[in-house]
Amino acid sequence: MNSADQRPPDESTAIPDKIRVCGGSFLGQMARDVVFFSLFYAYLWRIVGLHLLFHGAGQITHFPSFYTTWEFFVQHVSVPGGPAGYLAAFLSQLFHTSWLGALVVTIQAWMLGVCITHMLRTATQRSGWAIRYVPALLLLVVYGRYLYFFPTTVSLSLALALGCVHERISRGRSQAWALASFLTLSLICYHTAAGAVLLFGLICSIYELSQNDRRRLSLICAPITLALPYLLGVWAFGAETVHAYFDLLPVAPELLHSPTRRQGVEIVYALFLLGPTAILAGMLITVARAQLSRLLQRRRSSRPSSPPGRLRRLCDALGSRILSARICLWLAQTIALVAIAAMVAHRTLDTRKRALFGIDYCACHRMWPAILTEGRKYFDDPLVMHAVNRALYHTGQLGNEMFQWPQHSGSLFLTNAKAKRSLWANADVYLELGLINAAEFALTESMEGLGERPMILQRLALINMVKGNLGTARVYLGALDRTLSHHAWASKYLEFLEQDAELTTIAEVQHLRSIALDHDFLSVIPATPQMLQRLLERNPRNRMAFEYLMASHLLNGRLTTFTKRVPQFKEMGYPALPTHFEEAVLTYVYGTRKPLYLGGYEPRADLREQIEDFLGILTRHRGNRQAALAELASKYRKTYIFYYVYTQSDKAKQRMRRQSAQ
Amino acid sequence: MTIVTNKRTRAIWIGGVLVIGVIGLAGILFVFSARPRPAGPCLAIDRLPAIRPDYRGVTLPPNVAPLNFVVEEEAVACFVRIHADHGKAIEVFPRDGKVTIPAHPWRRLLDANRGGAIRIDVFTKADTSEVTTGPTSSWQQFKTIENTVAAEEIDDYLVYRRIRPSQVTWRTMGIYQRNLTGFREQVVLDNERFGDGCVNCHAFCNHRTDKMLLGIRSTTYGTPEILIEEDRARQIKTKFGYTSWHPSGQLAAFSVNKVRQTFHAAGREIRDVFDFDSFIACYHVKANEVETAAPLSAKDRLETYPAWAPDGEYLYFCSAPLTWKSQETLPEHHDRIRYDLMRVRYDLAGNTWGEVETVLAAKETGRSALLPRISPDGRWLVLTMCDYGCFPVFRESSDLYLVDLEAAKRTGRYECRRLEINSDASESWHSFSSNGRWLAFSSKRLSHVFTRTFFAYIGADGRVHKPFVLPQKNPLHYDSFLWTFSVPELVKEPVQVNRRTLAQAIRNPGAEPVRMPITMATPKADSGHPDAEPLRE
Repeated sequence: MNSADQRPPDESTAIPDKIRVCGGSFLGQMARDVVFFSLFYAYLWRIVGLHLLFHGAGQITHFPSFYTTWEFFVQHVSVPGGPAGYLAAFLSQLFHTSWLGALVVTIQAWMLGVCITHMLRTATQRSGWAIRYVPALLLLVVYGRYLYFFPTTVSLSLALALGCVHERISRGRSQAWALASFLTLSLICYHTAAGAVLLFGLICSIYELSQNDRRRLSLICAPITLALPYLLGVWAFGAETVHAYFDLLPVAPELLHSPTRRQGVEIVYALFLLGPTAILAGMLITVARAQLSRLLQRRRSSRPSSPPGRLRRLCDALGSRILSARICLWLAQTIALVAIAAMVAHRTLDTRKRALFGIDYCACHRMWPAILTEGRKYFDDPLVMHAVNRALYHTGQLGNEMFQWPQHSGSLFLTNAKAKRSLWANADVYLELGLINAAEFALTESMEGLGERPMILQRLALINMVKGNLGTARVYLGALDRTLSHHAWASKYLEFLEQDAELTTIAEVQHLRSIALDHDFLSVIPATPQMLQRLLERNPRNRMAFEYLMASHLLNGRLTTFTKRVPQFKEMGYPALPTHFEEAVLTYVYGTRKPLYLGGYEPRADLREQIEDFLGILTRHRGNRQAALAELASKYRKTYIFYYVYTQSDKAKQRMRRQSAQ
Repeated sequence: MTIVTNKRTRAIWIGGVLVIGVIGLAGILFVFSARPRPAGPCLAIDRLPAIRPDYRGVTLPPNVAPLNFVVEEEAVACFVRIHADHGKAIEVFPRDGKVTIPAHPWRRLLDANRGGAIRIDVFTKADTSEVTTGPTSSWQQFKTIENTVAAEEIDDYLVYRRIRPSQVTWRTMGIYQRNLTGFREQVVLDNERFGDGCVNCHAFCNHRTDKMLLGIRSTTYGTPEILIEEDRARQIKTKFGYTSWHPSGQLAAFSVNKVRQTFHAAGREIRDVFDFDSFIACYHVKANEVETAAPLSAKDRLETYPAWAPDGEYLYFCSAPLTWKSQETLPEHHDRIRYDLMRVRYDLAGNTWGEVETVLAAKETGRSALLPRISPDGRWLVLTMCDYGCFPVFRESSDLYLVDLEAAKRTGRYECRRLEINSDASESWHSFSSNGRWLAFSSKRLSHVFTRTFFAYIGADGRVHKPFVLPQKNPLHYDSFLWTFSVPELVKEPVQVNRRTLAQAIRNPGAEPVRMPITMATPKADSGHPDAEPLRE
């Protein structure tokens, strides 16, 4: 057989008519792609919001950092899998802007589909048009659940793309040529995408199996692929065997060893197995069809031909009409596809996670009204309540509104949430209060847990500017200056430092210096009420420290300490005593029978009536709090006295019961 | 071979050659046009040029990597000439002020000038608009930087721990080695190899890597110590703290510390560390046995930081009185915890200990004496002293001090001298080179958070020369480097054992248990394996 015979016929003639009808023309395919991927893109951009993944909310611990330096580049490209890691790190930075991130993922989803269908068509002569959209559907699930597997999917894309390159290079060529192509591309694949070379090898093996004259090659591909990670990874680069084989695969130790990172990894397994499975299935179907048609042909030839039956004639006529109406078919297929995608997106979108990520994002960017709106739906999460309290303070509502929300003693400074998440969330509160060292502590620990994220570096730079550690600030700014997302901010501050080392013109730095705690003492935990008191001693005008201290007293039932500080409201310039604070004073007064003193503010009659009614209801139920719960909750759930009675210490409860029984 | 040519291929060939020629010519022109140099007399500036890192007036080892630096002067062009009495001068035409010195000429120049000096002339051009070719160009010349080249080499390798400045959590860290004659940094062992544990406290015997100890803390593999002998590594199933090899290589003294980390509410340093309990034990290599001795594990004292004298006759260590009872809460007067420098005689043949002697009493110095290290010739003892506590790297007041042991032998009195090389930031984790002429130490002088490694030359008279920071290929390396260098140890050769062997030793479940006397002490520090800890009586 000469080479011309080996070469498959031209694509237009190779694909049978039936395929073209089912798959549609090239234009039809393009049009469907445009429709589907436009919607896919819009969904990722507007509904999912990939900027939330970039933000990470203290939950994504393996989001890569990226620096625009030569060293960073060399460091990556010099190790197996490094180029894919570098590419993934670079592209991940584009997630900072939601529309750009969505574009990256859309292109990736399209590319995965194109590669898989290309391999399928060349290996089995089948179009499998629907397969083209399966990677996109799986990615919808991944991003809808706010999971980050981007480096793994980049390695998958590279392996599939190189598989297609191998097909193009070796198409119609001899076995030796194909082997040379496979070897070269395997080396490239291993260096660029590490463990994904296993997938590349598998796909090439299956593909070679479909080539009548090169089937032996498929047997050679497998051992080469298996040997390559050992030879290059373990032997040449000194990597651990498990890393040499599995890095950048969904079974990589860095994913599997971490419970948070391996969440949803099964979707990525499906993504990896999709290509080989589809091609294998396509080949099996082709073989089965060929056998069936041979059998039918034999049967037909053994029987005298008879005119087709009535039903058959009817079906053919009907079918040909429908099939001839390609636009209808195209429309039906496209609508079905979009409907399936919409259903997948709807069923898999994790709205709770979206809200939690969103609230953390808003807290980080000081978007207070958005927190209060979104927080209403998820107030059971301590991180949400922590952000809500901060938003309430910044909108001037803490003293009036905080018990409109379910509170608990740890809401102001997270102590119960998972360590790394709470450290990240606490950092900004510490900073705003003036607990500069506590903020630095929380951020350095967060950097270790979450990586060199620009938001963390930015805050650490600011803290060190406030502390006058200009050398350290320059290091953080230097690192930020080499990022894509925060380069401008860092350059600006580096310039400020050059012009004025004291940063006298930077209002934020000057403000933080004016409130920063200056009295040192040792503590095992970074923030305590004692520190809030010290902050007020340092700067009696530190309104946030004052409100947080007062709120902390309320949440922990320290009413005696609270009432001693009531006169300070006047000194701080409050036009009226905030509602919950006045409720607390009344609770104290009714509990201890001490005279009412509101530090110069007029008492509100409605609040007095409210507490009297509250105590009256409790008395009607003979002081039985459980019996009175339903009635009290319906009327006074959002008052401080309700919180106090139902959540405070036994001692306080007993005191209150005694008082109400009288 | 017949080459068939036609007009078309010839044209392609000629065209190709022409294109390559033009590109080459353009490249040559570009390179040379970008090399401005002063043509005539320059305006003399009567001060040293500002350069970063500060490599002005330092003493260099003759085998050190090029000291690349950045010229921090306002200029549109710069020219640097490095020259000496012997050897060919090096000319550098830095772009953006970055002076990258070629390695081979630099090495040759240093080698030819051992015991002499090398000089760096920095020329800058003020403004392009004033470019002239006449006798008074816009070039200016700063005062010459004169650096001394020592006759004695520094050890070729530096082994250190690279970690981020966090306190409680860690993600990636490792022990690295750096070839000081070049810029190559290699991982000795990183925690990725054994599931993100902690790797720490590397200790070498006699500045060689064929006998080495490495501490591991891992939730999966416990807190073993890894002993490296030649090219083999094995696990010692007990937790070592600060470790020092006896020069014979037969035993290593190590501290066992119950560490408590705390947090400073204000001030520059946010972290602090206290030992709630500690003592010193010895590991005998051949017997695979741990033992302690009364002088090193007094119930009412906190012993730590063991350091053998090079003759192996004395073990120096630090010790503070245990003045508070609670093992859980911070002592009220934590700022009064100060360590004395002590020593105890040891007889290797009989494995016997003498009486404890006080070398420097905190009562007299008013400071906490920590991290003693003795020079290989036994003449000098360098230690850090800080206002209080046991962890100098977290104390801004921590400085390096020198004790002349020979003078003390003569006079019977130990006197310490604060070294001139100290800064207003913390200096700590020092180590001598094998010839005793170089001191590597960690300093926070460049920034108050990130420790960097510095080197200083110690003269025969004990004078310590101006230190310089570990040179990097990119002179701006430290500007954005978010890691700290900790425990820099100078060694003569690279670590022989590869990462895989070390990781296998860590993962080895069948390691032989260490024999430990039941009379040993203390509730364990932060071990995941309490049964592997020595216990105090």
